[in-house]
Amino acid sequence: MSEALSSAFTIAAPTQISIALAISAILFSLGLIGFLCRRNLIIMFLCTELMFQGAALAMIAFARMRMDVSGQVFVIFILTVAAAEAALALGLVVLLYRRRETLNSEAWADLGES
Amino acid sequence: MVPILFYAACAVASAGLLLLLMSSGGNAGHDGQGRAMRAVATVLGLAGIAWILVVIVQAIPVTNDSLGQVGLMILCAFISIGSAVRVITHHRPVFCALYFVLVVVSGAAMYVLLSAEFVAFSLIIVYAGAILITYLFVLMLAQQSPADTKGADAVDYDRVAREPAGAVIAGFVLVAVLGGSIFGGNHTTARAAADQALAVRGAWNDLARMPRFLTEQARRVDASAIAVVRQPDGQMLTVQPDFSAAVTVAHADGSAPSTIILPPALLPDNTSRVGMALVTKFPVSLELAGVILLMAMLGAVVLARRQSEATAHDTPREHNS
Amino acid sequence: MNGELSIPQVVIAPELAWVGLAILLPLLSAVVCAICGALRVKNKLPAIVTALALAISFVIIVQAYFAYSGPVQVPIFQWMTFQWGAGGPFHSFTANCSLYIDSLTLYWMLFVTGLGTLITIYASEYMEGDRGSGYSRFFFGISIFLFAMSALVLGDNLAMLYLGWEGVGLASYLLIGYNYDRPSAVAAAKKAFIMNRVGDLGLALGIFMLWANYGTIQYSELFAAMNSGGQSAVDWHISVIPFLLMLGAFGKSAQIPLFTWLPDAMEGPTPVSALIHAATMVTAGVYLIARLYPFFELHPEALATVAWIGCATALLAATIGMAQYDIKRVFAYSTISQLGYMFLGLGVGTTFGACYHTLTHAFFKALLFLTAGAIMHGFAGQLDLRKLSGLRHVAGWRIVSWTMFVGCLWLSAFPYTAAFFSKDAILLQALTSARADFRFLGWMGLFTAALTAYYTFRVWFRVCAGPVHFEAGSEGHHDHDDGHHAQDRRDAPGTHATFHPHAPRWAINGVLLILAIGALAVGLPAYKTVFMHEDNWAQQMIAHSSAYEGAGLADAHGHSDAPTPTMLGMDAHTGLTVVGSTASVGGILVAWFFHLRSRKSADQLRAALLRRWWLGWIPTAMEHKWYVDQIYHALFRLPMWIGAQILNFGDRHFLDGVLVDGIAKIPLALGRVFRPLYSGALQGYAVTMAGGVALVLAWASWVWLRGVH
Repeated sequence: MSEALSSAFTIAAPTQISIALAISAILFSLGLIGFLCRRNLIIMFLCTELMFQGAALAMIAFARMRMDVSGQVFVIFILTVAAAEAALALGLVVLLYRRRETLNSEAWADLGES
Repeated sequence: MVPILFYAACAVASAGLLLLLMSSGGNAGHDGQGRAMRAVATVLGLAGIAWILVVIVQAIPVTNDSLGQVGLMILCAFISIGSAVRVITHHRPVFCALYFVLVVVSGAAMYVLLSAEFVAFSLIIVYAGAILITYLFVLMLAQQSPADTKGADAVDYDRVAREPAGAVIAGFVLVAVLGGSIFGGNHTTARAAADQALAVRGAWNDLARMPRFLTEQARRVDASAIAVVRQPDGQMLTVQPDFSAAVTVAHADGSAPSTIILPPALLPDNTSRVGMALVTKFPVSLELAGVILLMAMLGAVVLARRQSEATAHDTPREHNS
Repeated sequence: MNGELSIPQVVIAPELAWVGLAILLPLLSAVVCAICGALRVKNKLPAIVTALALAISFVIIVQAYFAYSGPVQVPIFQWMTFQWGAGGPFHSFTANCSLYIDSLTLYWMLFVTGLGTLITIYASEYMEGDRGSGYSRFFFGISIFLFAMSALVLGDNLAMLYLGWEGVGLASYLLIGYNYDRPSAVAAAKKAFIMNRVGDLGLALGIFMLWANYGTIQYSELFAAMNSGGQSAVDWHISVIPFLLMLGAFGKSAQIPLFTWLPDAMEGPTPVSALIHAATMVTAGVYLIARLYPFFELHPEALATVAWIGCATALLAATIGMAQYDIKRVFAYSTISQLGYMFLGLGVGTTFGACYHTLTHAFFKALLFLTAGAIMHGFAGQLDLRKLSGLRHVAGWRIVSWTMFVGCLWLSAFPYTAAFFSKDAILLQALTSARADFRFLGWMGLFTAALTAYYTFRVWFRVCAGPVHFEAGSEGHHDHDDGHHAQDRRDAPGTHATFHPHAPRWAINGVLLILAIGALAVGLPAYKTVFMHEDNWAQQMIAHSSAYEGAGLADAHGHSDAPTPTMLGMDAHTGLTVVGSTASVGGILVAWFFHLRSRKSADQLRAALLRRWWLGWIPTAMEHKWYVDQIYHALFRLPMWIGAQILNFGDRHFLDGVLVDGIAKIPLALGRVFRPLYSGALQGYAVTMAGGVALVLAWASWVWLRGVH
């Protein structure tokens, strides 16, 4: 490896990348589990944010692995979408809360088919 | 990587999580049995995560990471996974949100370790600073009254997990499959080197899209250069095997263009590259992101108006009935 | 069959295009009436516009009559022209909007437009109770009718004839169902329309067969083909043509077996009955046969069939007419009966007799219907001849009574009236025929003439003569009548003491007088023949058209060659005059005895007949119209109804139940299976999604790993 390369390029850092990827997978799965387990609408949205975090970490890890900033750019877009989602979804949650005075997702089960 | 070991480690961690989720249900959290269960679950979970990390690190054939950075990474891993577990198991939504802040912060630390400094700080600013604050506000807006909690530390639906077994099995399958597909391939030194070579070429080529910036860098090597011109093969630069780049520059004194070598250190830093990528490679996506934000803002305004109208209408109706 | 005919060749005369206005003007007036209807115009504008349009049409036809010098074809515009292959016959189809004007056309158009104008004027008063509601609709129907009738008569090809044929059917349907809120009117309209469909099918098939055999449907070319003996190769698909065309004529002209719609069509307003269902539309069948007369020679028995059917219809309708109590129905059956005479005339080979009878009948039958309408108008819908008596003594009703008397005289073919001569012409041809069966039909026709005289004067003696007595009708019973009768209606049910009949005013009386004069006038040509032994105007009109040529052909094989045929030992003509007069006067005298002199005896006779089991069925069957409606019901409507029920059952339970609903039940059942998945619990969906993602990932990574190792 050339010593002239900046630190960003000197180290391929496979171990860190692997750990980051493992964490991203685990975070995503934890988010999923939380989404499935929790009944509080707000926490469910928080769990989707957790899944976002997992996905974003994977993007960063792959960006590091391929030395390609596209991954980082995508994380910025994820931030955008997360912000938009937080604004809208939380507004909707408040709307729902006003109607039924509860955050329990099962309170809305009567919208189902059966 | 030995798949069976990986799956076993995942299974252990999942078992721990399952126990944790189940122990938090009902009023079990307050007696001794629940506490013991939680202790066992924590141990199982931590062991499982450690085992997963060991299995993964063992699978890397050659490593030249600095030990300190790997250590920091592992620390961050434990913090973020632990906080994430607390996010999905804590009874009080406010604490969930605060633990999520911890997840974000440790995630930002990992971003820095993965040399994504700009994104790391924007993550903290946007997520921990803006989004989570919104969550906290909404949590306060939609707070359940103490009467609803019936003396427990939280309302029913925050205390009792829904179908924890099914959810954990789904999560286990997901992690196993993801891990299997991520770490199941061949990891060799040659491949890592090839990846790195590709990356450096990519970085130089990104730079070649911006001739003015390239010229600036070239003037640091040769002060008389006034412009980088195309080489006979039509390329702006040629990447050398040692990751330096050869460019042809025109001179201020009118002499014939000459070829100079730009060392890799002249590559722009990470933040500059993100900025350049945003405006050169993803301008449309950037605009679209702006549109999405605008629409979200409009949507939020509409929702807010509807809420106030609904309130204005509902109140007298309730009085009448 | 000798193929040598000499139907006059046509001349193309574009300069006569103004005759096309006779078709266009009624259409324009229909448009105006429609606009009036949309604007809910309350004045008499629709009637004025229609009358004006028809009057101008009449003037145009009169102009055309004076400008006429020989058969012409007048191209107006190109309508349908197709050509394929080499062109020529069988490789082209031409049906243009152009006129075929020969003397037969003019003869027909003269009385169609003339009577149309008069009856429109009559209707302008008759219908005035409906101003603002149905008035525009009524005159729209009349205009559409005249448009279609003109197209039917003036068109130079069978496509235009068919257009008009269906158009008059449509107008008839619309006008019979004029009071669409009355179920009987709606049923009658549907009945007329559907029975006409049966006939129209025959006509359509006949036109198809004509094209298939001659490669053209233009009269000029068809007649040219006949002139050159194109029909000599007699084949079943050529000889079937007259029978198909005949079916169309029978449907439109209410002959056996398609006659039952016409009595029911009396549900329409009386001017409609007079114009469409007595004077003009029902004669379209006669026109069709007269126009295409040469083609009825294509099968030797075709004209004999027409004669038999016509005579049978005449007799049957006359017997039914004897036993009806509703004035309009009596006249309706008399119309069917008289149309039967016309068909008899066509069948035995005297197109002159048939067409002349059409003309005389148009006048006196329109007159009779209009008098019936005036009575109905004045007596709040009363039409039962048992409840009206002595009208001629009631102030304001003299004109109606005496014009009705004129109409009745004509209908009963009183000696030396116009109808006497026209009926004579038909019966003479039949009685002097070489064919024994035609002579038999002639005697039947004479017998029917006696019946006709009887039932005609039965009406007149009952309604207009005798002691003054009348009852007002129940308003809903018949026709229109609103507005100005409100006073009368309040006194209903019209007792003699309080009811004041509403005497007709100038429009009705004037038209009745004009028609009575017209009925007298149409006899004038006949006097010329009788007293001066010359061909009269009507004979000449028919002689120079396609109808006459066919008649000549019929003579060739039907008429006896004896120079002076005899009858009862006298010259046939004198003999028929004597016998015919006897039949007519005898019928009138019988009617006088039973219905004026001693009305009780009529009831006694009926009771006496009913008492005897071997005679009692006669009046019963006659009053029940020989049960034809019931027979048709059992033969056609009932099987169809049963079939419809079976199909309906199959449709509901097999097609719908098993196939459509059954197939629809498959996704329904699948939905039942999967419905529990859609519990409404958000996480339920998420589990499914996560499971799906995990499965896909597992499969993908398994494939990928297998590829790597």
